[in-house]
Amino acid sequence: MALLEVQNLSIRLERADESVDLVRDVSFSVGEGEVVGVLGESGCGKSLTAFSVLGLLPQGMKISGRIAFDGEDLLTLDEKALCALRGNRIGMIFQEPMTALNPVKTVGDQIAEPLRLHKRLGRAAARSEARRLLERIRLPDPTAALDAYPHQLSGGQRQRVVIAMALACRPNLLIADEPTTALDTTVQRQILDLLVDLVEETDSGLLLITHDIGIMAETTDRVLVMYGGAIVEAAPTAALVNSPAHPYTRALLQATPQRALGSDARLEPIPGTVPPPSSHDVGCRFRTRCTLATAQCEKSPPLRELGPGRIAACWRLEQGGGTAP
Amino acid sequence: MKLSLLHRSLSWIITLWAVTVIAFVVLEILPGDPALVLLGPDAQPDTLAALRLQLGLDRPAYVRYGEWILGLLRGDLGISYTYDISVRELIGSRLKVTIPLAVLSMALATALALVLGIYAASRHNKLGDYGVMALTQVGVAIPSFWLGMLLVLLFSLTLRWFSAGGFPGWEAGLWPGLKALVLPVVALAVAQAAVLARVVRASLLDVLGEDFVRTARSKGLTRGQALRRHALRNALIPVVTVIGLQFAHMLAGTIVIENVFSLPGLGRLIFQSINQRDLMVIKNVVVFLAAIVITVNFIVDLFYLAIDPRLRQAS
Amino acid sequence: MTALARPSASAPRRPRLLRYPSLAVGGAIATVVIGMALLSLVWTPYSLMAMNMRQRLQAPSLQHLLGTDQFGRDLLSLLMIGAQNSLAVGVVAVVIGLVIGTALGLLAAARRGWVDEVVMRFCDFVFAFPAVLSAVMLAAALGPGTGNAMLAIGIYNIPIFARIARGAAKSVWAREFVTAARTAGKGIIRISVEHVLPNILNIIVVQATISFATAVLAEAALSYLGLGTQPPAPSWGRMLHESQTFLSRAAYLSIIPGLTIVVTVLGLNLLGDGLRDLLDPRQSAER
Repeated sequence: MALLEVQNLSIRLERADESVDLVRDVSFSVGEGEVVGVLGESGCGKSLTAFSVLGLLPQGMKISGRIAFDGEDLLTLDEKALCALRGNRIGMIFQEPMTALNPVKTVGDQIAEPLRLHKRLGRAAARSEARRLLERIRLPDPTAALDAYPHQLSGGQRQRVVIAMALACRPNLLIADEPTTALDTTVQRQILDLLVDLVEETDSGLLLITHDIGIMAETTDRVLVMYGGAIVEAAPTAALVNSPAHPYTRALLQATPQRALGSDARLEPIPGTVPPPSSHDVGCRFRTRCTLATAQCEKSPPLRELGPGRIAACWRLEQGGGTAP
Repeated sequence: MKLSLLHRSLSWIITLWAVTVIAFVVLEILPGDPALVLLGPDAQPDTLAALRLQLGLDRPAYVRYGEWILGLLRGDLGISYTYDISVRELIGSRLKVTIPLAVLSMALATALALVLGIYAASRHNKLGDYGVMALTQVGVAIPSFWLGMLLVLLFSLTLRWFSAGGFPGWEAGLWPGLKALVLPVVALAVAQAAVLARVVRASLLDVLGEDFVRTARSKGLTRGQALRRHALRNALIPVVTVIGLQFAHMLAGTIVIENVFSLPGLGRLIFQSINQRDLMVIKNVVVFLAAIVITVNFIVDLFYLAIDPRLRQAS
Repeated sequence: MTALARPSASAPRRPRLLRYPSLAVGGAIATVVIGMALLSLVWTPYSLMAMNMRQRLQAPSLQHLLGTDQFGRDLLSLLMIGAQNSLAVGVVAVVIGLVIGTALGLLAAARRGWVDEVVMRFCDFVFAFPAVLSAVMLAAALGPGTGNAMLAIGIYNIPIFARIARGAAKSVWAREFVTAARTAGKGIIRISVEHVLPNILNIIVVQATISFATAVLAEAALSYLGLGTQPPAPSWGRMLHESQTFLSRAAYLSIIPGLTIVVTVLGLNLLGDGLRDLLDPRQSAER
């Protein structure tokens, strides 16, 4: 049994005049020590999927399906049990290190907080553990950093602090929502390496959300590609990069400058934008931007198995030149 | 930090000085002849001349202003015409009522506002929130002096728990003194609490939407813990400013409330001085009150530096 | 709250307004108060000169709907005429604050630099004088009266309008059409009046409504202290002051004028909130 198993997850925003499906029928799993990537443009429901695991969706959103963590369905747990899991067995890293830390609390206090809360450590013990964590995330002067305020650190250093906070209680599962997007490219690499090292060290599972294929290719074992709130393709990373099946995945790969494929790499932006979520559209969401779209795409394509661990949802897989069965 | 401290201290001093100029111009130059104001229109010419001489009104205005300021700096506020004692002593004795009244009201208003504001924010868009908001709408619309009268009607005339007014003096003991202040303090605090509760709520809601509150929740804090440990302190920064600004209204409010309850404070003194046309007292009390307001705002600025580490580093 | 939402003939019935309950309730209350004041110019249930010592301190009855005061005058008639006074002080005080404050705010936003600094310091300075304190000074210097109350409350309003106008105007100055007007060679005064002012008018109108409510409250306090409207002209604040002596004998004499003030101020504040919802949705979402 996998560490995290998400089955038929749907997230619906209920408004006075209409309800919108933001995430539709998403299923995936993350095993222990496994790094699973979620790929897609902004507005595809990646972050919502991540937040739903922690039970931290914004108000007014209805969630259905099953999210099993270590065999326990998180959707049936009460708030108290969820709080005991968050930051303890499931850690979360956010996109914006500039705003993810409380500006009026010291770095040391913020890292010590989950330790005091979940591990019941005393003030001094939590502080020395926080110092050790700061050392582990390779902050230059960990003792000084304990009493520093977030504004005194650089963006990269802050993101390291956020990672230290998420890892403080040695969680079994780590969820990272675009952890390097807000950082300089030179810092991105360091943070990513650190993250992967730490995950390997603790043997936790990592759910890494990103829109950067380069990062995805280098760090993940498996990839889910999301579009318009649904999974359109899932495959082992190498297979996905070498022979993308879904036209959207292919378009994403072509739009990536640092793609690790052949030498004919050419940046090709995907025409159009992600359509806004709507409950009325029943067809393939990508068809408005897809070069292969036909009348058949007015109906929603089912996810089909393409091989071991590979699925994709497209009517035209065969014609697309991917690894059709 | 040193630079901003210097900047703020400088503007504090300039403002204080401007207050004295305004008070002097309005109270000594605008009325034309202060002696005439003091004695009234029916005064005999020779009495007027004598008083002018006694008050030094025969000398040019800038000399009188200079002497007044020098006196202020030495702590000499002159002699009250009607009471015939030093204005400084007069203010000192009246402050024993006004300061406790203002400070207790502010404390009560702040406590009420925090409770109501935090409750409303934590029940955002639910019945409790609407209830508190409706309550504060009514609270800001109630004149403090009318509330004072209602309190007298209920608690002194009907229930006879408190006296309807007057002040026994602190010599009578701490409790009798405090007891006389209960109704005035409540009357003064309600409107301020209503204003402040709205600020607390709005500020908290603002902060609760911040990313770091979500981070706190992801660490396993409950909604309430995240609110208390992470949101509250950030939310208090604008609240402190408003408390500082409100202190001005609080002091102005004491003028009204002291008259409702016949409390021998600064407000009552200034009011009586108007009736007795004692410009010397009015001038100094006005400057004194304005100086308190300005100084409180100055202290709020300094408090800002203490509460927000980001500002400590700025400049 | 709901008790105040009494049906009124003047309440607009368009369904659009139902989405703004504050606007409807506040508007209705304001209309009633203004209507009362206007009506009293031509008609009141009883003449104010009609003192009748035999009918003094009568509790509300069919003959005198709200009772009579210590001179036997009809309380409803006094309240109606008192409304004139409250509204007049409110209007003048808001106009003083609005005109001077908005002009200062526009100037500060247009010129920036030291002009901005001076205007803001001036605002801080005026803030140190609550309306009651200014009124005390003016009353001491010039004698108490309605004019001084208007002036004192008006001065108090200046920095409020100045700050709001400055903040709003600054964001307008950052927009493209202002830049376009500048490149076309228009002067800052012309841009302020032609382009900036129309764009901040919504916010100013909302503030004017709320300041009007504060002014009514402040006028009542000043009149209560005897620093505002002088007898024999009736005013709500004075009526409360005079009723205090009879608090145990005739509580209604204190309760009714006080309630009148509360309902008026509440109505004006609701009207302001409603106008904000209607005219400035961005700001109201933040509240």
